[in-house]
Amino acid sequence: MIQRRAQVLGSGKGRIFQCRALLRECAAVMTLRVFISSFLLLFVLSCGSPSAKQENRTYKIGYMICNSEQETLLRFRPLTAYLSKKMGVPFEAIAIDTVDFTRQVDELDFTHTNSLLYVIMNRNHGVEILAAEESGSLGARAKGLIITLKNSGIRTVKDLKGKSMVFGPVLGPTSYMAQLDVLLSNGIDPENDLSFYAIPPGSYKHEKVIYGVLFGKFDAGAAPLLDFERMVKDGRIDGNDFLVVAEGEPIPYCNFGVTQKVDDSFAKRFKQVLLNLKKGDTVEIDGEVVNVLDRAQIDGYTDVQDKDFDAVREMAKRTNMPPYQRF
Amino acid sequence: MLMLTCVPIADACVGKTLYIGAIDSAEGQVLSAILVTIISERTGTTVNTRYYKNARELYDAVSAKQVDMLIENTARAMRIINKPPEGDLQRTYETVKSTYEKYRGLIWFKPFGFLNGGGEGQSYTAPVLKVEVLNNFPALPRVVGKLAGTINDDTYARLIKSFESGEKAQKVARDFLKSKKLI
Repeated sequence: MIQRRAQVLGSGKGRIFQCRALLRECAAVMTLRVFISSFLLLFVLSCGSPSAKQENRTYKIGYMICNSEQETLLRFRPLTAYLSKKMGVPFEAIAIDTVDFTRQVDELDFTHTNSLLYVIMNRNHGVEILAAEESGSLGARAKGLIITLKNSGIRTVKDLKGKSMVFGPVLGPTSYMAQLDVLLSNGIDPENDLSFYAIPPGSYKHEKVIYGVLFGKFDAGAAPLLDFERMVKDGRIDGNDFLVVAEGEPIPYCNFGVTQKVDDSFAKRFKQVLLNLKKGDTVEIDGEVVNVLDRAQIDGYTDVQDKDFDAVREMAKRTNMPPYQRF
Repeated sequence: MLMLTCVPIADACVGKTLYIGAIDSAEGQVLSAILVTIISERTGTTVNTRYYKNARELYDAVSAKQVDMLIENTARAMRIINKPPEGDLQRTYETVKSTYEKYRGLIWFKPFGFLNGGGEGQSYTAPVLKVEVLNNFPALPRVVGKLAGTINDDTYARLIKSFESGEKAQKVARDFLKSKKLI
């Protein structure tokens, strides 16, 4: 357009002024062009950005059911409401059974699971770790115990040979896998060396395991340290009645992960809100002001790296658990 | 082979309830009751059985994600994968095992032990489970594996006779599993 305008301008003395005028016009047109291009570029980028799209929708957080669907939602709906308030976008809490999680993960934005489910979803679905939960004496770590009654006569893992045992949920790293790992590493194959073993049906499996041992239904049980501690603290059991025969290695506790659907910057903000969460932070839900961490039964969130889960991966390999199962 | 290769590997169909697919016959009812009982008693998982008139309906149900595991024998499996019968039972078993896993994501477990079930002549019969079921229920290989070699031809005949003389499949299954100290 500028070239075409130069041909139209005349010649002679007035040409200098005309040239100056032309240069000024060129600069103005260039500025306008850069401005329009930049505007269009920003407009296109902002329309295509996942974060812009995601800001207008409800984010789904899948919470692994620990004891029951009702209990899980009771614990985590306030945290979900708190995240909505802090992030300025709506979040929805969805309680999901452990055995259904990998089937539903692709419909979620964030995941709240145990360390084994994270390892499975990280490998098979690209879920990335954000933060680990802190609770109980080990903070952000968890540990599986093999417990028996003090008067059982069982003192070591090898004493379990010929005895019966009850395990918790199979996809629970500290309710099944850690204890299986301890047994196998001590030369006890549950299939051949235990007289019998089983997993209780229904909800609250960890408690059923501990009560199953307390009431003598089984000689030994596989329970997470945290659940054992909570039952002692609540006065439901007397810790002095039990003997801890063995402990699994400490591994990361429950954690938040992010799926591939979520934009990085949004995930970072989500993580920061979790890390900043303090005792005493409240949220209003169903007309009630609720302490977020107390209701969730946790002490806070801490940073955690994917490599922290390598111990879980190695344990899963040793015990032929997913995502490394071989048939 | 065509039947297996044309059907894409199914997405996970695992819910909180597992479904066993079985042919509606004395053998299907008794063996599925044994699987239902041992899995539910040992792993706390709810398991139900869905019966089908024939193998075609059963495999359609597997493809439609209505079934998580089934009971199959190697003779029928060879027909399904369009392979000629082999004289060597172990080689037949290895053939169907590898083909089912590769093309359909179905894992053959070790055979129950009897050779003359289901009117198929000499053939192994075994539980067959979907891979995604095993991923979500990782205790199943250990628990279902306990049934390997537990039913010889005499035991099989006795179990079927008990059922055909009027005992319920669930009772036949429980009595059998208790006698083996499996529940």
